[in-house]
Amino acid sequence: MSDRHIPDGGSDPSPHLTHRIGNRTPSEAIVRAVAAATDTAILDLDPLYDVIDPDNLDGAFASGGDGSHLELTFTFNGCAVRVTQDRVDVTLIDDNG
Amino acid sequence: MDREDEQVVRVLADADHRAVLATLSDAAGTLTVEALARRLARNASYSAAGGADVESVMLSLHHNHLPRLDEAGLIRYDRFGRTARYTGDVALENRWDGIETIEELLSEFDDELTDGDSIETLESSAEIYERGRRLADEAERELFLIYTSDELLVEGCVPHAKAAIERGVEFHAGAKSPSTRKFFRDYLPDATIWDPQLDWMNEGTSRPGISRLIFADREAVLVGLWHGSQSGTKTEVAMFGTGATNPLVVLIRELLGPRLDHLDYQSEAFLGDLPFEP
Repeated sequence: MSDRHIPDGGSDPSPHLTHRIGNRTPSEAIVRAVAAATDTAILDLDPLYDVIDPDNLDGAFASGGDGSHLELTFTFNGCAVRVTQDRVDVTLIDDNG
Repeated sequence: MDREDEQVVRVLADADHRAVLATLSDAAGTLTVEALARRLARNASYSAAGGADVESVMLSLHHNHLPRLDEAGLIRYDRFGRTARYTGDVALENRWDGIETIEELLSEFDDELTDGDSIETLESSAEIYERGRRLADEAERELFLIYTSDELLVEGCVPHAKAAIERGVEFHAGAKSPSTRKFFRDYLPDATIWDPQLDWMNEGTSRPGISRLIFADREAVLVGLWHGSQSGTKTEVAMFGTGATNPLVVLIRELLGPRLDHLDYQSEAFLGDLPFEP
């Protein structure tokens, strides 16, 4: 993924990835970010729809061009996901402690 | 309309969802997400066709469209096997079989209606004209019209439309035929004229077609339908509903959806294509 900023450092106890949303819809960027973070194919992830309505999510960010700050956090496929206007942060949740 | 019905209307109002349903229905069996995505990517009525790669189509199917259609009860999506199947639920199909069966759909709702939600049937052109004129006279903010043929246009309606425009009502007139658009342009120079792109307005079906649609303030709607007889004559009947929560009003509002707000773009493109100053 060319828009990966912080590489998945092997020694990092909680791997953390940031993706720029760019031209994609936020929902697509989230799926791709989590797929990359968990090294899972996009079809092997549980559907985003089960966690949050992608259309509502994309709509909320699409209408947020007035300078207001919108930030969403939720858990998706074992990752803590944080979405802002221009980026997606993904942190793997470590089940083992 | 109960919540479940509203969800189905909302889902069906989306052209991509209709393309997914049609593809699954044609497949007459189970399709993998990938097979479905490949077919959609070749389907001109799917918005991402051509523009998106199959992987992106698969992504939006698995993470958005298929679970949504499953929840609305229109398909079964096996999210582990990643296969989808049109459920072919006969009752559902009869009820939601495209927009062409709008009449059956509404008669179905008729049984469930409470007092404020009634849909009136108008059975003569005189009655329909009268109701249309009243809608124009009572509109406060917006009038949205679609005419599918010229024969319904009469100059007697023009003063009512003009009076509405003079009151500050936004007037949008859509017409399939160039001569109808010319009629509107000649008589109502202040109106926005556009060419409706609604597939369900198009001809080419043996079922009753829509003759006209008048939508006032997004709260009252008159939908006319052509009724052909064996002898080849056709008569017009219409349905009328009023009130923001009236099922007919809700249905039309959902079906027209964003087109109600994006007309200006359409009309600009349309007007820009004219070889003369409109």
